[in-house]
Amino acid sequence: MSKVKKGSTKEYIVSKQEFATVRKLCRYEAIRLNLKHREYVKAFYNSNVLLSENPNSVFLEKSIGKSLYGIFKYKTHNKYYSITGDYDDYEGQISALYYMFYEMDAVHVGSLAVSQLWGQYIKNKDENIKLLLDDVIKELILNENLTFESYKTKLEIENFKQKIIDDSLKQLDLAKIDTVAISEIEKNEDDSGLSKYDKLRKIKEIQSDTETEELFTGIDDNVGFHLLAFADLADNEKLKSEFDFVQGIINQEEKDKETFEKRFENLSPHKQRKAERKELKAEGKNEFSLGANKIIFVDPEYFVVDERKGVKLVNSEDKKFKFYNQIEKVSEASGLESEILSAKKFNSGDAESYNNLAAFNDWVGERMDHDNSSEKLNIIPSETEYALIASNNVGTEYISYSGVVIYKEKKDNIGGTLLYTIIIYPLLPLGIYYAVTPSYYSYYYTMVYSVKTGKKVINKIYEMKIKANEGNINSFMYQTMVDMQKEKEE
Amino acid sequence: MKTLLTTIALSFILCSSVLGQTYGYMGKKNSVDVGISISPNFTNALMGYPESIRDTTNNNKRYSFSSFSIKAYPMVSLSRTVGNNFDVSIRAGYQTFQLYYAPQEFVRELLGYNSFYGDLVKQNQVTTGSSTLFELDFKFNLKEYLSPIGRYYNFGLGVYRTRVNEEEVTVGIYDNNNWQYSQFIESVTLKNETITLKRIHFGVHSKKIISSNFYIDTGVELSVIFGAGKYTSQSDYLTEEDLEDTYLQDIQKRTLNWNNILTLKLSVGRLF
Repeated sequence: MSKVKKGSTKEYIVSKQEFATVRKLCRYEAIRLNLKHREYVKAFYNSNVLLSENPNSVFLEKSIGKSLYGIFKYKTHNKYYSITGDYDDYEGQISALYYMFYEMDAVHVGSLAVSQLWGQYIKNKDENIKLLLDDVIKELILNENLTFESYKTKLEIENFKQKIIDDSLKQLDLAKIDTVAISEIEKNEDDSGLSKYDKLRKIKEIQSDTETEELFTGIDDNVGFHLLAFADLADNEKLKSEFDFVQGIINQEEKDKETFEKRFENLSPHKQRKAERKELKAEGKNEFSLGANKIIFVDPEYFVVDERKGVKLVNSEDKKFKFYNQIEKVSEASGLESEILSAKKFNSGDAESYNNLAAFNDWVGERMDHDNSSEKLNIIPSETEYALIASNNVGTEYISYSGVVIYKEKKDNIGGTLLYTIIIYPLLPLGIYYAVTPSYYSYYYTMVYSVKTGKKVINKIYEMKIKANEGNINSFMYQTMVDMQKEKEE
Repeated sequence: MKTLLTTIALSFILCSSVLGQTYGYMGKKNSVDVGISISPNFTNALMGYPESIRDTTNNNKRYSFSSFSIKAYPMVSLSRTVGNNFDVSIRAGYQTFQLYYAPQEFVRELLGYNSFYGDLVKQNQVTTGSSTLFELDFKFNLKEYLSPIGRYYNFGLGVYRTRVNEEEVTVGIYDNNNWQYSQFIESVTLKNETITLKRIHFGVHSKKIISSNFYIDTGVELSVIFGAGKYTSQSDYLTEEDLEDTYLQDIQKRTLNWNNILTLKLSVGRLF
């Protein structure tokens, strides 16, 4: 900035302080976007850089926790590559971090995440952080066979500490050897004309000569490096109870699963599902039962796609508004309170609604990105805490993405049909009707998410091979809304 | 008849109450509709009788006995949605028809050789009848629809209470073999007797909502009528007993059968 010419040109259009505030906001927002776009290593890096300037920032600390959580989840499900690609694609200082996380295994990252998240939870009592913490503990127990007791093996920790010290000393020796090697090369007149890379190659040869490889032979890749993260927590009773709490949930889930399997013993999976549906039906429930009393419709969509014009969206704006009215009408009839969040409906005083809409859209956007990676990942989106705030604002944890798609296309084999009906001429009017009218397909889709659990609780698409009218859509919508209000299966 | 009607009513009540885990359209499970059934109306076509008879006194004159028209008759129906894809309904309708009851042989020959009796036959051979229909109807929506809206198949069974208007009928019996009248029933009074016929029907319909409570139902149905005895006498003579017994019932059944073989339905209804 010192090189910027001063004079008629202002250095700051706004005040310097305001500029700094906005810049800070942007930097923080960039971290939020990193997390949302699953760029966890970047988020981790940026948070740490900014933390040096703002050491008390809760947001940055949380972002570090969320980054570790994200990396761990993808590591433990062997999907890490899908979010980073090759570590050597990155340049600059951050590349070291990419390499580090590439080398760390799930247990290492998970342990770091537990340590980090636990610290934040104790400090801020943030329920969202607790959700992440419990999820990491659960995955560590289930996927990595770790328990709190594993961390408590003090002896192992002490041994490991000693090993790290020894290894560091060996590294120092190695560094000395390097220095000696370089000076030897430089002294040697024959090597003075060598390029930088040739010199490095030469050093490697010298290292080999001095049997440096032996220095590393004692280091085991599977050593309990992760235990260091727990050096200060091994005796923490509160953390132990958290592990016990999660273990309790796991035990209960396994018990439920066992009971379920016992109940439908000797039945094929298909027959199991059938029997389960039958039981639900007998109780007046089905897979849509949520026990909800309010639902938020986020940006309901109404698309008309005309394939004959090259897959074009046509004239659906008015129909979208009609669809909104339909939602309101059906909601009233079904007794399910609903609210539509759509930019098309907002007025100047709806700033809060707009924020809620953005929060839900970001949350679902991130949720969907995870879905694309793996259904089993079941990750809690980093946007959850903002979505939870929005969810409190609107008074329900359930948000629905619903819409109607009417698809119009040319019928098959028009020429043949016309020819046949010309031959059997009494049928010609039918043939002409067939030729001039398009084929219609209509879809009513509804996806309901629980912001609280992060799960997609309803995913249903109704398909009709006709041009759906208001009545058809109302039928489906009403049924879904009534079902949603029924108490969910325990 | 009473038993049949009771069975229809009880079946409807039973189905409506036993099944019922459904929401109907926006919470409305019941509907009532009124409409018309449009069907072809044959007087004597397709019944094996000649379409027209030539008057022997005037070669250019032909008496036409065959007629075809399109008739509409009213129907009302009460339906209840009892499943996601299943409705049950009862319906009632009233239909009039024309009946050609004179035997073929009599008409053809009598006109040829005795114009006096031929005239009598011409005047009296067609009479009118009416029937009231009560039906139990089951409707199955296609998988992609939720009952009661959308496209559905239906089938059902019902009863026709059929009667022919009382008229004096003159029927002559002609013996083909000797060109003589071996028997002649100069005047037989057609008794105003009500008979019960049974009907089964199959159809495909489409029910479309036109406002929050009203709908239009359009469809096409095929049906078969049975229940009356078939006139099987191979004799050239039609006795009075024949006329009053199976012969008359048989032609009523056949008339109604052909008249209802294909029916277009159009009705407007209200959900509640």
